[in-house]
Amino acid sequence: MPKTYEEINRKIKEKNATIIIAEEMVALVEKEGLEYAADKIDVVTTGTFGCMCSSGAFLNIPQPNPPIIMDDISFDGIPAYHGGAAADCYLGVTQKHDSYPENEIGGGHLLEKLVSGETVSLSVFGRGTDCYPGTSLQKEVNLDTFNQAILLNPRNGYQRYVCAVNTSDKTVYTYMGKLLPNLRNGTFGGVGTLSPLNNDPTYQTIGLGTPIFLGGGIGHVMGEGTQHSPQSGYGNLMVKGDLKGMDPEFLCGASITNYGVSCFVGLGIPIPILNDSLAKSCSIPDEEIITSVVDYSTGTRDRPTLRDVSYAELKSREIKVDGKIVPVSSTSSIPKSRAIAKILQKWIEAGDFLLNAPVRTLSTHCAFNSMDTEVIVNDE
Amino acid sequence: MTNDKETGTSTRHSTQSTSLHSIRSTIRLEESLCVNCGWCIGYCSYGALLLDPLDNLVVRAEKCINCGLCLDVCPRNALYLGK
Repeated sequence: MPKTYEEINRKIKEKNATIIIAEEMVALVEKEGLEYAADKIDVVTTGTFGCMCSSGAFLNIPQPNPPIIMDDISFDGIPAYHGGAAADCYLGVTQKHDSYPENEIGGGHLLEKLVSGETVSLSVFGRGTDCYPGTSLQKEVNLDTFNQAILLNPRNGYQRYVCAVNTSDKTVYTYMGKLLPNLRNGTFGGVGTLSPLNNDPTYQTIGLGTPIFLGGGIGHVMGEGTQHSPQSGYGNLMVKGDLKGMDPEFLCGASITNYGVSCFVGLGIPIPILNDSLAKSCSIPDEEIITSVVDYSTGTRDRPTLRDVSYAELKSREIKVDGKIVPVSSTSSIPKSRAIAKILQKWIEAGDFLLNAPVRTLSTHCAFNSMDTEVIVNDE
Repeated sequence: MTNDKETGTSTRHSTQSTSLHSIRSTIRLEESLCVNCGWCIGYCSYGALLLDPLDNLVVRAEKCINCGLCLDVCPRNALYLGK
């Protein structure tokens, strides 16, 4: 029997809604069948926690007197992008220190400091104009200093990601981590069953305005993310939330050896079980969620795919490639992803986290293009 | 009691592991930094790193050979050499 958002929200307000996490939905459908689960369950919660490089925050700095047009802005020596209005900037999580790029501290670590309540050193230089005469400002600031601090992540929550391996005879350092030679290890992204978009792969309920768990606080989906590629199963989301309500347990810096810096971001989405098809998509087990084992030994854009692999195999921590047993590890925290789904479940059970239909759903057909042109490669 | 997880069991600081490993450095874990991703586990060929039934990363010092591979890969710099 199909349900409506209104019916589910009424049950949430009355604290009568039945909410379970995605892993429990898999087990329930297996035990009781799809029809029973579709009728019984109102909401399935999901979660993911991984390095999401396409993340950052818009920060608005209160103007001193006289005011400054803030042409150069940095926090603890880490530059923020200015290119908008006088006191706005964007602090990206992969941004490294201006003078000490070898430091394993970046924009993500700064966001972690800010949501932890710590102070950071703000440094501002301006060109000085008639309306903004100020030219320099140095001050210790914290999250409360900013008028607005908005986490706005252009690409989060990939539906799935690849398992990276290295078939060459030398170690390679990638955004998927250190890959040992001769298939001595592999690393994979994504959390399979718990992954938000895997539970609604046709985006019936996820789109502009969907309320979500983001970094420990409440956020919203803004729409499809950059490089959204739904037809290949690599859909993703643009999301935003108030940094001031976030928690360093679910938003913290990351350093990837010989590659760069990033940020772990916690993201959870509730899926209302409006119909049988949503019940079905929320019950797909890890055995049926497939991704690719990809050889990262080459620096080419189109890396060779060695085989398909299920998340069940990946989560077993060993896969077989070319007849060789390869130990694999996750770049996402499955325990934290599960914790996020459970927190979201509690929020909804408490009666004040309501669901709504998206104002606009995500594209199911847009293409992810490449560029064919010559590039210069530094061989040093 | 420290922040370090030392064994895969509920007995974090067993007498046996302390006596065996107090004379040399071994891998230690700063729990407050660890996000339990398990990224490090795939690099350890000796079973010294694992997620326990409660999904917490634990270091089994008695299995560690100090190869240092895991130190290099932790994105949170939560692993370190210590006594």
